[in-house]
Amino acid sequence: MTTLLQTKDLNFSYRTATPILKNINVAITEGVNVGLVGESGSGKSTLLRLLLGILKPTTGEILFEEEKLSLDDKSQAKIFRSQVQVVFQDPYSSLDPRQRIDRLIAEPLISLGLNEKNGSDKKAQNTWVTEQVVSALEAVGLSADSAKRYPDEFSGGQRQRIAIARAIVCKPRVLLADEPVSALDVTTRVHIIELLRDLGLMHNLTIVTVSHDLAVVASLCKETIVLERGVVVEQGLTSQVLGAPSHPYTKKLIESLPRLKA
Amino acid sequence: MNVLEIKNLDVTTPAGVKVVSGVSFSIAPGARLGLIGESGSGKSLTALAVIGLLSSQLKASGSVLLGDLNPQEILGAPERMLNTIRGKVASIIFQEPLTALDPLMKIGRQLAEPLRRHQAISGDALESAIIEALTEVRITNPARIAQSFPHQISGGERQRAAIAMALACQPSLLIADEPTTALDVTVQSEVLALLDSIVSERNMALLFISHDLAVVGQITDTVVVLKDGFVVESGSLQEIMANPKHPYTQDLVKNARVLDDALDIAKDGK
Repeated sequence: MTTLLQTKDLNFSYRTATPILKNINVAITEGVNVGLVGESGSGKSTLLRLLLGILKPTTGEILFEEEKLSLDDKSQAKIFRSQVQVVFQDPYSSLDPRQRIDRLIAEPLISLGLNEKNGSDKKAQNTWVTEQVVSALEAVGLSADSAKRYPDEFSGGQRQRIAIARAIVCKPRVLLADEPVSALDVTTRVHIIELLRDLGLMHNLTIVTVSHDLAVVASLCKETIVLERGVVVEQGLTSQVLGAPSHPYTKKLIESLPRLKA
Repeated sequence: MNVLEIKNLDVTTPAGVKVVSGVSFSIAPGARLGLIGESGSGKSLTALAVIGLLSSQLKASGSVLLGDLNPQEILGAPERMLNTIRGKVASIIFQEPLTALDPLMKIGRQLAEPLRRHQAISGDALESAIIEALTEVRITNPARIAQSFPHQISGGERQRAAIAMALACQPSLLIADEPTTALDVTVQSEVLALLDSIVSERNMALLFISHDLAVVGQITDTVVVLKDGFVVESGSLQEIMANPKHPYTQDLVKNARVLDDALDIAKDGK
């Protein structure tokens, strides 16, 4: 199995401040969803941003498909951007309210120049883009006529579906998600988790999700990485981390979970 | 006599949309009630109506009686009267303690305000009352926290400080509106334990508002379920979990179970 993303002795700090991530060695394997777990300030979102290439490691490196990731290398950057996409927590702030859904979803295709590769003239390109947008909308369970509407006509759960459609429109191999369901109600939350799980299986997409909610990670991820104050304190199969946690912090996290009474 | 008695509460927006419709429930002295609902269910508006903090743009009708010895009508009451009720009869803590606290005032000074007003103390007595109040909410270093601004302390400490302020005038009813939603799970479990023990010790009534069935279950077994401004179900949480009647509650319980079960399934290694 291919290692899609990997960090090697990665450290990160803002200028001279105290390090936010210390000596991180993690690997994302194709087909194995990973959950990044930890509390506020643990560095889990920072790690996700590093994996997304919007932050650069202070020391150490990130490997993308086993090659050192360097976004200054334009050709590698282009491939990386089309292969690694992201969904954020709040679908109210991640969608531009002034753009129609079709334009929002088509953006990665156009900014990556994929339209130019898939059509000889403007007209053929536009047709191709429209097809991709419609199929992305269908993949997330929205009808094709959503394309002509604006974000404010949709509920929170539908907006998150739109954000996911935008992320998968360029057929990436990795989807990075930062608390993708935290802003949603329980029922919507369950539906979006199911959607992500299905997309992973059907579109050969590996999902890396940051979550403070162990139930989300348990539902979606085969592996779990536990971060505490910038250090990986435990990583392995989710079944192991949840079932037989070895680090005291992981144990405390699991004990603190409010559970339903029988 | 009940400490809170809500009858047929309606809240209407300027556009004429009813966001709370015919809500009725009551809480006896020392009793606890969980108000369960998701976004847009009207749970927070109900809480604000109880303490007379609804925006003047919203129109409330029906009746909200607060206080067990001398019940007072809250709806339409003048601000002067509400000020004698807030803090003493009922007080409220909100989801986000960072916005509930004044960012420009040290915690000690913020806490001094209700203490001074309620107990008419000053000087050294006030200082020690502040430390005592912070100790009661299990803040480990009360002297340091009292000297800190809200941004200098952690989210859990801020919520504890907000709880201390809410308790300062010894209210008979505490309203907690999603008090742990913004907190990490480990801090959430500490704050829930704190609320549970303080409410018992002081024999206060508690209106606990949350979208999370598991969290509500830690605090109380008596609940009211709101959906789109209507009460769709009420009674024992245990009974509702076992046998939800309304389609909305059925969905809510089913999906809460899906997430809860996922933890056990994952543990057993799917």
